[in-house]
Amino acid sequence: MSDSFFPDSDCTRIEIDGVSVPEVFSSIDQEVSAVRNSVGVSDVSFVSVLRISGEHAYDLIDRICPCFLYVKTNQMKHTILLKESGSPLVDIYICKERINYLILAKGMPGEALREFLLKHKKTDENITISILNTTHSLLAINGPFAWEALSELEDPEVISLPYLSFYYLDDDSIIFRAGETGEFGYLLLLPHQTVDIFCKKIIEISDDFDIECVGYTALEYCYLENMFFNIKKEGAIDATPAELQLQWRVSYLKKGMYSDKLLEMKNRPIARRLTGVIGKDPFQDNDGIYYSDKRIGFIVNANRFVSGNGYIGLALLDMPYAVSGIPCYEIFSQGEKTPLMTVSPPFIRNRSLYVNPQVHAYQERDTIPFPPITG
Amino acid sequence: MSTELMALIGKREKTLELLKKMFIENLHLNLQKDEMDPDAALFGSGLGLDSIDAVEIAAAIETQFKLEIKNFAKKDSFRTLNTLADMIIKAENCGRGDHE
Repeated sequence: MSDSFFPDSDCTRIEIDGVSVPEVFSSIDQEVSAVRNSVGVSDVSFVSVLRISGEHAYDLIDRICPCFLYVKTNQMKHTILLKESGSPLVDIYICKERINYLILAKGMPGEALREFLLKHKKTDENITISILNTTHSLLAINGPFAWEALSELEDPEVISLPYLSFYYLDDDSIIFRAGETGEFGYLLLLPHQTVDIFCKKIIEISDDFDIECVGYTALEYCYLENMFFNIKKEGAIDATPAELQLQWRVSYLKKGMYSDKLLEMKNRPIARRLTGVIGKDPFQDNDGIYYSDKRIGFIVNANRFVSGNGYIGLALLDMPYAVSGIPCYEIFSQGEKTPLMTVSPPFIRNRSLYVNPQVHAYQERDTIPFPPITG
Repeated sequence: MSTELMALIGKREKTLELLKKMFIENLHLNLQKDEMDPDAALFGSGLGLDSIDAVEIAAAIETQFKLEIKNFAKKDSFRTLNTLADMIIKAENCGRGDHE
């Protein structure tokens, strides 16, 4: 992947799991706005992409996954790999190809993930693990009109691609429908040598769709606005799937790696839970949350509410305080207690909910009766 | 804990419990109530429901909570169990039988 995503664009850069990616291009507000209103394009090469092939590929993946692998060819399953403690280790999609499997992973560099998989391979199993990041780049296209831009850039068929499925543009390039911003979202796996050609095509249509380059920071803001699990934030606090509201990614009935631990955690009454919070005054990660003088939790992930007003966050609150719709908590931040309210994420009304690819077009977006994005 | 806060928490938890029971029974979900995350997406990922399930749930909510959901396209209410609970609690607090 070339160092500049768009050759003429300036950006700050950040290293995620050993990979340098754009951090901020124009401004966070402008980039989040593009994801929320038009089309944002991101370099997400920090996502490790592995191909697992061989006679026992399924056996290995089934062994390490805490959920049943009921996934058909060209479909994806969103799950997590667990630590020995039962908390999330890696955020992954399992993608079933006709014969092989792909793993798209956040939270672990490709080589480390490969080592992790090999550690769990049996000696007599016939498995090959390739790290596709060495030959391919991964781009993300997000926004309520991402489908339309992509259909012009690559293939009109993309409009009918169901969520959590993928198809091949050619032998070497894949489009996945798997957004995490709450808008239409796609991942493009492209050989390094074709990325510049693709970027040139984006530039050609960028005015038609008000396409913006979107950096990692803006993506994190968008994940938070829709309470999409962030392995770097919520994944860093050693909480259980139940506490993180990720039970839908695991199955307690599955026997396998750390399944005993998972079941043990399930059988304990839940003591705390991740809950959406909002306040007018600034707050930040690790700030304490109070009811009267009793500390009831802390902020795990907080940001300025770019798409709305004030500040939003995900807080790990003790039960029974961890419910939505409570207006009377306080947050202690920078020496001061200010009001805090629990709310039900997502924090916004995603415009993609109101866009119908069969009917709508970006050029006619002013005719679409979007409700207010917040409030 | 004040009686007011206890009432708010109790109302939310009771509404969520009823919703979970409704989802499990009406949609034949192979889940226990404590396995259903209140903020997990209903459609797409999360519970992985579809549009037919949405119609069933809307009808069940109308029956159970005596609400009239006039507009099934109130999409931001049908996102999670908690957003459904928000809609129900708001309607009940307003003391109205219908809600859009």
